[in-house]
Amino acid sequence: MSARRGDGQAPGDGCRNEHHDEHHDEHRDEHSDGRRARLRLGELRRPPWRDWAVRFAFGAGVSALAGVVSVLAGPRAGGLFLAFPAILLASVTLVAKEEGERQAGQDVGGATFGALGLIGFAVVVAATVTVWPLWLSLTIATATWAALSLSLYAAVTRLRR
Amino acid sequence: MGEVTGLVVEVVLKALAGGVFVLAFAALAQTLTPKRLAGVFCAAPSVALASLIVTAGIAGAPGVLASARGMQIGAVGFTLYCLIAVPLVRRWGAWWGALAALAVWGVVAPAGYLLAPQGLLGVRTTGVPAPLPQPPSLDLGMPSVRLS
Repeated sequence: MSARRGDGQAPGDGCRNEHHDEHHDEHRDEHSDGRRARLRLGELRRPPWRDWAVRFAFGAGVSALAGVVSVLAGPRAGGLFLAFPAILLASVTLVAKEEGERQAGQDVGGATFGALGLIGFAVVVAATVTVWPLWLSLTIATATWAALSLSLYAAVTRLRR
Repeated sequence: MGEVTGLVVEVVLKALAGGVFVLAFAALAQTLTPKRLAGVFCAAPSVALASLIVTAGIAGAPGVLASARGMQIGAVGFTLYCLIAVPLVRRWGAWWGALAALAVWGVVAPAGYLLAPQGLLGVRTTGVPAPLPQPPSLDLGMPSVRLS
């Protein structure tokens, strides 16, 4: 689920040069200040619609699986699948196809921090949902996920410098 | 028949909501660089948020609590999955490496489910009422009197 390059562009020499330049810029970013976090809204137009459809399908599929297991074996068993790595699997294969195996490995490495944050998310929900309103419980849990994941990411990135 | 229809509706609602939430987090990840930071959002609580909101609407807080307890175990499995998947993806490629690492989740999640009935670390979170305040004991230092 990382940024894609070169999707949705018309074929042609000019576009290929632009494509090459973008790869060059990206390469430079990765090695000069590639560790600086950036938000680029223009990246939303890059992936083809098929990629978004694949992600929607994986999200819907895992959610449906969790729902079916919950109905058949109870909500605690269904809850296991709320942290099933299917979305990561879809993302990694898409990234590998379009950006290479190395970037796919980086995606998985980053997901480790997100998965640790998921533990915090689930603990906060379990500890608060019977005491607080649902919206507050889920909001605090999501904030916990973000704080845990991003702070761990920042700490490890700083240690590696 | 009505009960079955209700269950099907629940699953369909969870599926649709899950797809939408995954797309939302994927869009956020798409705009982020570097790749490693974007990878954090591959493990965002997108499916969890969608499913828990629908569960709350249908089963209420007890259903959400039970789901969250199961999710704690699944998330531990997810973390171990990522740790194993990194070297496997490098060695076997993205598809086979990521797929093979699923075995870790497949072992950890059911094992944790069987071994940790109260969820992670045995966290007990049900609303157990606090004991009512007791009146202070009337211990006046009197010697006990035997009646028999």
